[in-house]
Amino acid sequence: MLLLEVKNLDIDYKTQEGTLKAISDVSFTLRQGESVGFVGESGCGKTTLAKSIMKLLPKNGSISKGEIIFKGEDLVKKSKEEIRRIRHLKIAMVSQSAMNSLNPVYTVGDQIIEGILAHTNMSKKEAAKRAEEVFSIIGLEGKRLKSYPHQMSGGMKQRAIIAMALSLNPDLIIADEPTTALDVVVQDRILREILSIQKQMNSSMIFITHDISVVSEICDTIIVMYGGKIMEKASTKIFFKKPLHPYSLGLKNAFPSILDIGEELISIPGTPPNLMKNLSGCRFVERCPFRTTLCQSEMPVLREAGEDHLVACHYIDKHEAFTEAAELRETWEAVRSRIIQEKEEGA
Amino acid sequence: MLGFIMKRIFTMVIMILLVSTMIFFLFRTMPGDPTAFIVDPSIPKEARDQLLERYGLNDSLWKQYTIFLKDLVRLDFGNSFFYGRPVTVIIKDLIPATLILMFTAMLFAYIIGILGGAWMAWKRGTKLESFGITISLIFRSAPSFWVGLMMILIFAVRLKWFPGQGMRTSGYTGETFREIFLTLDFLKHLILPSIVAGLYFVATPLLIMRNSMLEVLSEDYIEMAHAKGLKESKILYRHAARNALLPVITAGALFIGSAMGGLVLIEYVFSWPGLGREIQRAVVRHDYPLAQGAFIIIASLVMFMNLVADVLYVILDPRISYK
Amino acid sequence: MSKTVVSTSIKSFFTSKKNSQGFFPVFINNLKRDKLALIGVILLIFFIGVGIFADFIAPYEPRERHYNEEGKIRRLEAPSKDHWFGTTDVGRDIFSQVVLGTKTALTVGILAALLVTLVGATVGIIAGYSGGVVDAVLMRIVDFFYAIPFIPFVIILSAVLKPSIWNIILAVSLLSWRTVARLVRSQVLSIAKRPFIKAAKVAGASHSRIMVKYILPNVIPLILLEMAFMVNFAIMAEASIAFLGFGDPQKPSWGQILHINFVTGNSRSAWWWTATPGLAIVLLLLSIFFITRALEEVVDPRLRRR
Repeated sequence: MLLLEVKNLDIDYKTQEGTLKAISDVSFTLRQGESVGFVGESGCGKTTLAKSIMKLLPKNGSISKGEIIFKGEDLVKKSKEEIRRIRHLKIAMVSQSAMNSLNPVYTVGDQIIEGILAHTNMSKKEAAKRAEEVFSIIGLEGKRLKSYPHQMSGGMKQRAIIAMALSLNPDLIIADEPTTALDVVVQDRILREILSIQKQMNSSMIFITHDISVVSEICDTIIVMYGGKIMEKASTKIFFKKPLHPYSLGLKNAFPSILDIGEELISIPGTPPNLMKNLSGCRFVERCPFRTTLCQSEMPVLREAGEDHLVACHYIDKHEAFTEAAELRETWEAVRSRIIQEKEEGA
Repeated sequence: MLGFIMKRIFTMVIMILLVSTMIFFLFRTMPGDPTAFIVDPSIPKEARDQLLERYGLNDSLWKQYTIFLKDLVRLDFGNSFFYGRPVTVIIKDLIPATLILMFTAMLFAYIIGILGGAWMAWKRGTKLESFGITISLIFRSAPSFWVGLMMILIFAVRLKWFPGQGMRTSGYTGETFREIFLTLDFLKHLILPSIVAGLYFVATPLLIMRNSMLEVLSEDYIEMAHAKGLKESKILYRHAARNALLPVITAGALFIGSAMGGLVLIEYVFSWPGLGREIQRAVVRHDYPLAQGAFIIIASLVMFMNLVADVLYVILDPRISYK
Repeated sequence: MSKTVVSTSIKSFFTSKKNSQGFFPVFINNLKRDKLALIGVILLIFFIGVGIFADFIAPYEPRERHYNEEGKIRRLEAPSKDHWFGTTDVGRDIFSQVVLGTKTALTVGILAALLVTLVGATVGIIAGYSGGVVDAVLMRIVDFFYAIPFIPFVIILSAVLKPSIWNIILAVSLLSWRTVARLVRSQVLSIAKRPFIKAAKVAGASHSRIMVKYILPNVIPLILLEMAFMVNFAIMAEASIAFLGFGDPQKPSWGQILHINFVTGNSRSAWWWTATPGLAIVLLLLSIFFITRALEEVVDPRLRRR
């Protein structure tokens, strides 16, 4: 059964300079127990997408089109109070900055209990017991509940945030870069814990990261986003065997597997597009090594490229040549000089 | 915690000592005849010499200072020239009037300031917010004594709603604290001066609360509180306002000193029989022992209230250790 | 490297560049958007004009007594064509007094603010930059001055000093530099950690040179803001002192007008005599507050609207 179905979602930010189209025409589904990873550079709309599901967009942001169907009901149409009841109880968030997501003047335990009490009829005592349970699941001692955030290490705080998200057995956990602020060793351990708990509880998960290698460890499905649109969607296994979109190929270069150690990384030259502008062609056109005039004029639609594999590129059939070329440094260097040249011409 | 308070009390005592010392030397080392500041120059020579002798003003400065310190510890500020009674006794009667006015006004200002500031931050960017800011700036720009004069003119003289001066209707006599302060007559007299003082005080907590609230509202833990599905009111008051209060308290501690100054003017305008009005009168009457004593007491009160604010801060913010 | 950083920081202070917004450009830009700040600037220019040309604008001598056609003193007359703000109990022209009071208010405000910021900034920069014992000692002195309640102290001071505006300026400055010193110090503490200061040290710049050439330009916006607040504070302080009867008897000031109004008992009846000098204070202080709000956005970029 589908837990979540996002259909043709558009999200705009109103700014002084004009409207910024942060998300355009994004659709995807999520089954019970499935975990999907959203990857892409910062500014590609991942976080906006995550926040829109919880209706936590900043004041100047709004869903201008589309549906977010959660357990058969459209969240877009729900009232503030209805959304409030769903948050945390059904959809819980593990936020980007664990360091600052805990209120410094209350103990961690108080903050977990508060969340439980907001949605259940439990007594304070029962809630405290539940908090202790989730703490032990995540590997923290019960007495830590009495600590203030400033008395805990970064890793502990992150665990506490995860424990908080788990406290009501939510159907869906949204984890937005949950480990970026931590050092690599702690990061790895916490990722493993998240994974095992998610499988154990059979919750669904949306995992947002810029680090493509993390997704390979954790998620069933991967969605690559760029410029507010989905570029490629596939099961993780298939994706890592055979990424098709030129942007995915570039991303994979930037996060090499352990075998590539010693080689210098190849990054994608240039920056993500300005979403204030009306973009007619492919979002990736400025930085794509394989672009044609068609790419400049027409936005490719997301279409099937194999079993469980969707790609938004005009040239799926050429992917073998692309894959080969993408591994070469010269391919991307050419893009770099092209960008510099275009800038000079533009100026 | 106890150690922290003890340490704070210790520094406070040192400060009171320093401030008293400064006042002592200010009175005695000014150009001209230093004794003229301590003894009324208009009295006859023999009487003057007698007084000088009695006050030990013929002794060396150092000896005078040690006597002054000894007296200070015993809270003995000498006799008032004007009243002929011990300064300590006079001041003791004035303190409650000042404190009651101060606390009523502070309470009024902080309740309105904190709630209003939080509300203004919540309404950020609307017309209501600019209106609120403008109003509070107007009251900040208006001298408290002038607002007092205008209020008396309008509400006491023209509309006759409240009495415009003093602490009680003339002819009323009360002896005990209860008879003096716990009466309807007293409350009526308290209303105008405390509103004026409150309006003068309110801008500080209001604007600081608004700014600090705006800062807090953009914190990640506020978003987290939303993500937890807490009710808006709970987020606003339990999470945002609670944290935004901390700077208001710090600023409040520094503000108490200037609040006391404003109070002097308000007491003067309303003929409120408190410390502030008395210090003004004492200086006009050349009653220096009283002026000196009142000043030291006012300074000590301010420092004591600072200490209370500091302790409050430590209680409210668990991140501060008690060292 | 250090030089370029500093020179750009100074340059960006006066000029606008695309990525680094300068001080005055941002301020001017704010004026266009912030109507209140614009009103503030216009009002302030008006007051400064009145202050400078006070002697020409004031129609009469402030102590001159006026008589009507019947030869009687124009005692407590409400505003009229001859006397715009009415007359006092001894027939003096209130409008002339208020106009001349503007001069006193601005003189005290500006001179005291200059003195306060000069002392405060110097102490703040030295304390913040030196650190250690120097900082500790200076900050204890600051603490000491915080412990002295302002108005009561000024009352005491006026008992031992002759009442004059110079003594009032002195008294205001004596007790207000601490605020500036404290704020500047904390700003300096954060600036002193920046790389270009370290680079300057390594390059062998002397301490005084670092403080003047490298740190000072970076705290000037804050100092200007504090100076504006201090102008207000000093004007208010002068008015308060004069109202209590300790003002300079030679110089007509707003506080003094109100003092005479109050002690003669006329504050309960002659509204024109009470209202006009007070309104002058409110409008002048308000104009500066409106301006400081725009200044604050420059000093603290977090307050800038996106």
